[in-house]
Amino acid sequence: MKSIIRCERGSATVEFVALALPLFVPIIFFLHQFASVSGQEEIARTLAREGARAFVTSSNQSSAAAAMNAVIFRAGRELGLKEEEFERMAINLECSSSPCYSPNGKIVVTVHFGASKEFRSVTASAQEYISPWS
Amino acid sequence: MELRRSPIKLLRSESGSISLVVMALFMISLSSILVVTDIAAIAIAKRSLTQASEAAAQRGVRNLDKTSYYSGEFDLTTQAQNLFGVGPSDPGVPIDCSKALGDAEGALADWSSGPNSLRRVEITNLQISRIECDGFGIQLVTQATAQLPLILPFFNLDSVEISSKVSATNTRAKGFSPFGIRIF
Repeated sequence: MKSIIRCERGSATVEFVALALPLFVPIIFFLHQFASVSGQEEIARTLAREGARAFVTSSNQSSAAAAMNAVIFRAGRELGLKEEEFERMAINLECSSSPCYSPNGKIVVTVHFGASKEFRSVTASAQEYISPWS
Repeated sequence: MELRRSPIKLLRSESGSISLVVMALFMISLSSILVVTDIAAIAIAKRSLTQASEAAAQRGVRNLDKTSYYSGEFDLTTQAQNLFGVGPSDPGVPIDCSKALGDAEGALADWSSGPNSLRRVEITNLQISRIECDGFGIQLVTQATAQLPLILPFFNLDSVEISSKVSATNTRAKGFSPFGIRIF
């Protein structure tokens, strides 16, 4: 028994595990969180930007909102969003004038991803101006 | 004799060597992560600045210079030539530079004073460092300070300057619009 306790075989493994786990696990956890939050925010920002562009380049009020939603969902699929992420997504449109599609009007499109078990909530907006000649 | 050999023995002993390797690896990993995180944050902030500059440039370029637009050599002859595709080349859509510059500046001011979700939290001190207009397009150079999320030790670096350069021109929609009434 004494010889087993005094034997140094495998001690390096124990030393490595005892030191490396508490040091490296938080780093890996931080990296994962930073990457996922940054990625989600970048997707939200891209969707908001593309949605706003689709709105202001539409030809009239009735098609603008539909074009914005279509572009956001299409772009979301292109960027690899899953169904559960679409379910967490909310799109909000703010306008400086009424109706929304008015010449020189300012719009702000906000894309929000609600929190889930894996991700925290993320919000990003983009603003655009409708052409004075529309 | 034993006393003289002890330090050598101590140096040659391998016990605890894994700890040193792990600590060295940890320090290298930590430094790399600090640098990579900061670079990623700067890249994202720069992209956000570019998007805002693009929106501002597009806002400015829509100011049509009506005097230039409706003057020139276009008449029924050139219109007839255009129908057969042999007319003069389109010089572009002239824009009113003073209005364009004012609108672009206004759009960027709106962006920097708008809700926090419009821009990355790292971006501060947004300013237009250069703005040019040649009558058909505008070029915008914007500059901002990006605060680093993690301050690099020993370098005393907590922020970097980022800049973005965008330009925009207007294009004429193809079709037939006599007296401003769009037929097709």
